[in-house]
Amino acid sequence: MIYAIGLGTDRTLRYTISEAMKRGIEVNIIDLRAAVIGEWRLALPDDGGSFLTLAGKTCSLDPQASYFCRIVDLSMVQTDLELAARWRNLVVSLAAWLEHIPGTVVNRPDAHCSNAAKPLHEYVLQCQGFNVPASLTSSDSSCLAAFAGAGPTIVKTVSGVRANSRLVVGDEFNDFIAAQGPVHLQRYIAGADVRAHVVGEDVHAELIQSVAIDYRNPSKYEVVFSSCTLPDELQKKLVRTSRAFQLLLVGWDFKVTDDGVYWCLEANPMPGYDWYDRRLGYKITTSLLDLLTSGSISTIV
Amino acid sequence: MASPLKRERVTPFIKATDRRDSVRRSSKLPLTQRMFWMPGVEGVKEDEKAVAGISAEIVVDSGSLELVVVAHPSDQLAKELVDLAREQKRSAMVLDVFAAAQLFSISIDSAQAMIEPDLPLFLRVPAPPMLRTSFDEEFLFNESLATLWSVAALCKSPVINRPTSDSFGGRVSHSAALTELRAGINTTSLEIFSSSVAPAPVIDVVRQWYVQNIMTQQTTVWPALPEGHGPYCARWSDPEPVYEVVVVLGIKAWRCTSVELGYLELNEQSIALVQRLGLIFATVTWVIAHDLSSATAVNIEPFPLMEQVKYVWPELGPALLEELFS
Repeated sequence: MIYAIGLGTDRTLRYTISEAMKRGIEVNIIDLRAAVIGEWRLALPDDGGSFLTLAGKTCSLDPQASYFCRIVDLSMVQTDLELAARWRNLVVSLAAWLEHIPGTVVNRPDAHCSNAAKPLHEYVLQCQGFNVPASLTSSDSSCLAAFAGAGPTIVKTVSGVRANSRLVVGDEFNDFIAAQGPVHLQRYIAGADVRAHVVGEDVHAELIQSVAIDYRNPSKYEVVFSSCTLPDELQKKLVRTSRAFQLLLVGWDFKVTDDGVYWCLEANPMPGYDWYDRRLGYKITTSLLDLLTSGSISTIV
Repeated sequence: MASPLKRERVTPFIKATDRRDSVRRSSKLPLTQRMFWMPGVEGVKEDEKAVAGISAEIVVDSGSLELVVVAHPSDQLAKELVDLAREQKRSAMVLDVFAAAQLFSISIDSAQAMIEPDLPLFLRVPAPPMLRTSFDEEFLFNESLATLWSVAALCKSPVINRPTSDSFGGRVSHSAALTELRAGINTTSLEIFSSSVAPAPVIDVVRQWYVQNIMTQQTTVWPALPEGHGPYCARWSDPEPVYEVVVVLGIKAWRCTSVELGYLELNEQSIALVQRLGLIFATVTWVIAHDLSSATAVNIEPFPLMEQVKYVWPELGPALLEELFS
């Protein structure tokens, strides 16, 4: 039996639950929207009495069990302060509880969180030996214009907020004022995209060929997906680095140039892997559920 | 046995002069007050929190600036430190998250990070509001925080409690019990987070079960219940606990009382705890046994308020500047 924690509307969580059930794995589903209006008791160190109630039914939390987590804090989007406080307290308490239990947690909430600060994340990846495109984060219009004018450039968010990436040119910063806030620019690498999911020791990669700047967005351009095998040394590095980040499931994004150079864009600690998994013959799910049901990963406090 | 230490109430903030001559008694629950996943300076009232508005046009001459303290304008410790720096003819400013983030540029290339300007930093970032004020403001707050996180982690200049790729504010958790485990304290007592008041799990004739309403921070001793609807946090503690607070900065530490407790080696132990949590600056609160024979660490605060350090400020303030300008 495994636990799945997150929002009932989360496509990836629903997919994981569905695939687990198809394979006969019992899943304790914890929808945070239901949990937040129910009762909870979370003990640290766990005393055997931790639980949540979901629609009036008590769900005991087993510290030895395996947990698949896609925890999102919706406190800030509430309109009621009391409900917001319940959200925030439940989420941070649950995160603390999941940090300290001996069971397998995919992924522990505090594990490698620098993805939420892209300049730092890119620096860390470079220090791990990955090719990462040069970047500039600034509120200075002349600096931004100079960087964008020096070569093909893409704009991204500085934080972990999901947004559409697009190409920019230097002239776009002529009217930019600092109060608009920091902008994160990165040198654009032309080539195919590669998405590699690392699950424990397993690597499942997909090659994505398109002339679209961000293949995830619907566009007029054709997108061709095919499974691929990464160079052996790169696979080892991905497994090694994911382990160093204390992440059991990671979605790695790369650009690969025509001459075969892999450029790392980021490592996602809470990947929406289902879209890729369907095309890869459910291999990511198989690795993930094997990991969750083997129960062999020890605690990381 | 009655404690020989006299009772003293916490006073409103005044400029620190002398240390207290007694350890503090308090009915407050010795729990970490951090309610937010993001780093936050606790104790600032909700309506004072900085996210209420994007910075007014702040003109910052980064060319002459020598120290940036990122804090809410009402943060007394930040203000006192900047005043002290100015007395030493240093150019220093308190900036909010937005203004501070706009100050810096970060270049990352070939495992080299260049921060411009590269300045000493003291991060005391206010917590975000409980409710979103607007999508744009929340987005800008997150973008600014991500920028500051990167700047502080990667700059060459000294940073008080430098963030890492794993955390913004050291390994201190929302849970005091988890923080204690991470700090290597194996004698941690049970801590329960709950939606309804969690009754004392057992009858204990020695300790009392303290229950705190996290919304109001009102604390009572079970079976008395705090007012309000929760959520709650509860923990064991000694009846009428007697506290000592140790302020740590690097390898220096100052106790907030002058009571003879040297044999407990609280300074040395506090320095070790703070180091294990990846911090250089924090307060460590100890509960002292009534016979003064032992002490247990119950709270580690990486963003202490002036209220918590005022008794050692005459030593701490200059030491902070020495660290920042080293």
